[in-house]
Amino acid sequence: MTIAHHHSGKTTAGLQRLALIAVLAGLLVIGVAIQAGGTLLRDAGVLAAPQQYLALSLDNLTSLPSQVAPGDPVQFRFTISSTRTGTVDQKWTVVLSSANTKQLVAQGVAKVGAGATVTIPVSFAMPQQASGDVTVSIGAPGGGMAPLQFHMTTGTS
Amino acid sequence: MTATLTMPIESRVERGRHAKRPSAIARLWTQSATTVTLLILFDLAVATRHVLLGSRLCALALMILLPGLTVVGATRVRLENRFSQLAFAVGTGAFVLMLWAAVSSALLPPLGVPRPLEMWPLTLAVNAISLLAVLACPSGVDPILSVFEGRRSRSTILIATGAVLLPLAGLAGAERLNNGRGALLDLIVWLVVLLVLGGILWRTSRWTDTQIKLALFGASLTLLYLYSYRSNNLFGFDIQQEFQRFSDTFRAGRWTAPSNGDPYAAMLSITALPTALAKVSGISGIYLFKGVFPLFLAWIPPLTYGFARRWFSPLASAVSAIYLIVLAQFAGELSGISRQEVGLFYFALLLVVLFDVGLMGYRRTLVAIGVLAALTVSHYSSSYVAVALLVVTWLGFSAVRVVSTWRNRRSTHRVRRPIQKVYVSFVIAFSGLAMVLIWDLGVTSSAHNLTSFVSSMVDQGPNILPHAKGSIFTRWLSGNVNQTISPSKYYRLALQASKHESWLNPYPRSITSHFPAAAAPKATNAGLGYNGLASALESIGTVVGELFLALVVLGTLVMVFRNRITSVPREVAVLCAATLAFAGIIRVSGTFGEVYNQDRAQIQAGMVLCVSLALGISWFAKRSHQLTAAGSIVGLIVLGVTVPAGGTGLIAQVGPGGSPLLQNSGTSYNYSDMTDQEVAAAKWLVQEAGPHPLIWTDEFGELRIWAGTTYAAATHTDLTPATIDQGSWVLATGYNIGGTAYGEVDNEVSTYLFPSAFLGRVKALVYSSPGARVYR
Repeated sequence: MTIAHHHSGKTTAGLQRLALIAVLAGLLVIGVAIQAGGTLLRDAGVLAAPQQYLALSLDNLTSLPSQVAPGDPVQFRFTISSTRTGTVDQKWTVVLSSANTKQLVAQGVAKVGAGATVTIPVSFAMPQQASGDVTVSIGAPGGGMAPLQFHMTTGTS
Repeated sequence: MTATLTMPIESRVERGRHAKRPSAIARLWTQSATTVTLLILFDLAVATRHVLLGSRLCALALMILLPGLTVVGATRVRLENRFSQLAFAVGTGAFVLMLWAAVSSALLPPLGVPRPLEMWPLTLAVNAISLLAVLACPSGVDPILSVFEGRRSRSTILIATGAVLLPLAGLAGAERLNNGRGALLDLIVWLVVLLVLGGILWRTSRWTDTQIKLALFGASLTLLYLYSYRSNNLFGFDIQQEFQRFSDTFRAGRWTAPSNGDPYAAMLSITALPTALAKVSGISGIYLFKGVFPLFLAWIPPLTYGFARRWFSPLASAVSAIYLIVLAQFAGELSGISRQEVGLFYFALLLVVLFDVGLMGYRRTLVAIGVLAALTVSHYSSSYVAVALLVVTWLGFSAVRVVSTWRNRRSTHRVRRPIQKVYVSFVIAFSGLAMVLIWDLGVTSSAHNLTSFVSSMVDQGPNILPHAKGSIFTRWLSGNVNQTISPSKYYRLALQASKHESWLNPYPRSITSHFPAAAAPKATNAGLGYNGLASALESIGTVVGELFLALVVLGTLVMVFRNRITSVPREVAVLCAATLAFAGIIRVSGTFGEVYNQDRAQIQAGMVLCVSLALGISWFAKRSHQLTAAGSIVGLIVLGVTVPAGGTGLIAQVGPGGSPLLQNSGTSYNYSDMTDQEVAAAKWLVQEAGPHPLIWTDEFGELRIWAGTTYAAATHTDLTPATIDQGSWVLATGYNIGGTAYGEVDNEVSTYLFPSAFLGRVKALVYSSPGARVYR
């Protein structure tokens, strides 16, 4: 190997290593840029942003009442879950409707933390005037979702 | 350098002759220094992956490249082109990981390592494999630096930088659209991609092959990212099921051959490979499927270019590769089918290694068998087609050789023609066949697709264009696709089909008859509304597509019947003829279409037929004397724009709209985009429903269940009042809430009004968010 070859060999190896270092450094820079500039990039809309919403769900579905006599207690639980980044004071209502009546039977406000779930027990007595098929609707006004619903028939339980 | 110039020549020669040979230790150090350094960096990256995203990216890159480059170095395989060599190293790296995952999952649990696909066992394995491989490399040769050898011009560095930045811009554009910030950036990126493709054609005479390949890679990856980064979840149909199988392997920490013959669970490309990468790099499976798998697919156009370039000019080869990129199914469909992204990558690599001039004799055979093995464990259909083409080519070319030999013996006065060299040998073709049989029948028992194809063929024959209607010309243009039917016909057909389900407990007709089928609400016009112009442009695109097809047919015919006037080996002509026949059969045969989607088959066939297209284009260019080169290129661009613009839905945006690339609505969007709310609702449903639930959704609703849960049993998709079971659960998607539902019965599809009034009447609404619901 001549001095020239030796020098050029060293230079070539150096350049090759430089290319390799550039590739790895590029990956590191991309990672650091995304991590350090996360908020900035998210504000610019170029990073994935999870959907923020509230969801309602009924708990313990098998124990939902299906036939209730007027005056009897009706009990169930439902959950409000949130994927929002801030705490929400969420109003909720329970409405009973049948062919001829519509009645608010329970309501309240639940404090739902960021990414948290809150379970709310509901208990009320079936109104005396309710008759036939009755629908129970559990709503969360302002949340953008349809109220949960289940059906009962009134009669002797 | 100064010393060299001032030294007399004799002295330099003398000095060179007596230069001290490096010692064995020095040679070993030269050979392994880079690998050892990178392994240390890899281990550091793995250890710090929880803290730094950059560490995760480095660990991911090194995990594929280190075993790949060192094993390739140890095998002493040198392909003709550096770009192909790098692709081969990446393919080898992925194959080594798949192979190790399968072998370690079988052998290590009995030895006390119950989860061999966890981070540390895998990190140890990558270190051990890379070190052993580097020790087996030729003495004094650094297997890693040798890939980066040679000088790179400024323009190459500029193109390489563009090939990195443009996909990142595409990613940013897709995320902006996901976040409801409009499609402007998407549109700009898309136009830049088109300009790049036009620029490639413009500069083919000045750019090197490596530069053209880099530009092709960047353009294809950008188009792929514009699709794959849509949605916060995975975007597409098949990819949802693939992700489910990956999740099963990821949770188990080992890969096991499926006990139920499930072909998805049998493919290492979507189970063992992403599990290994996710465990070691710490990058989530969703982002591996979105970001890493498209990298495999993006190699295909440059590899295809390299394959055609063996015999044709850069311009003809570039047109062939670009035509593959701009086909609608390339980015639009394959970005949502990860198993095929890996499978087709190996198929492209197979074509390159089969005909690479750097590989000779037994080494070519061994390398081809290795690539075929990688293809076999990656994707079943791609490997069936590859093996079938190889066997037919071997048989066909053997017949040609027999005839040539016979004619040579008989000829007395003519010049004897030399017997042509064999690329696809008996050993390669039948090793492929043997590996498919061993893997799909012996190891994974997952040949259901193949056996059902054989029985369908026996029962109904090829079943030519079973679903198409209209003239023979229209039927040919439409191909083997589903037909649209009215909502009422869909309700009727769904009811007929449900009669076979004796266990079904439907609602009484006294209730269901009050809820007849109705049309879905009209979609809002998201396009510019120039429907006539859009239709005209689409027609031009169809004509251009058929013209390209005519060029492919012409090129193949010339290769087969006038082979002497071309530079293409007759064996390649036989391969192209077999591929063209295969593409034609897939387009018209219902039986073939059931086992292999015609769009995807077209891409696989296109990788071979790029040779025919390149020949057709060369032939056309030679005979169009009146056209200058610039005129031809401008003509190609102007005509070519209509094909990609149609394929990606840009033309549709000029008319009524509907491209998922540019809007957050429309059938394609509903089909491919799983929202966070839908996935959360599906998770809640599966968790609440307990074992063996009856779940109903519409045609695309089941994708949300695959995307969010491990529920793999059949979901019922005939969501009509008369066909829903009384005890069932119903998942409603975001577009269902908007009123639209999709159904399919016997390859007939329908869009209809989601039966929310019926469900509200008979079922309880037990889960509700603004973008999804569950009824019980």
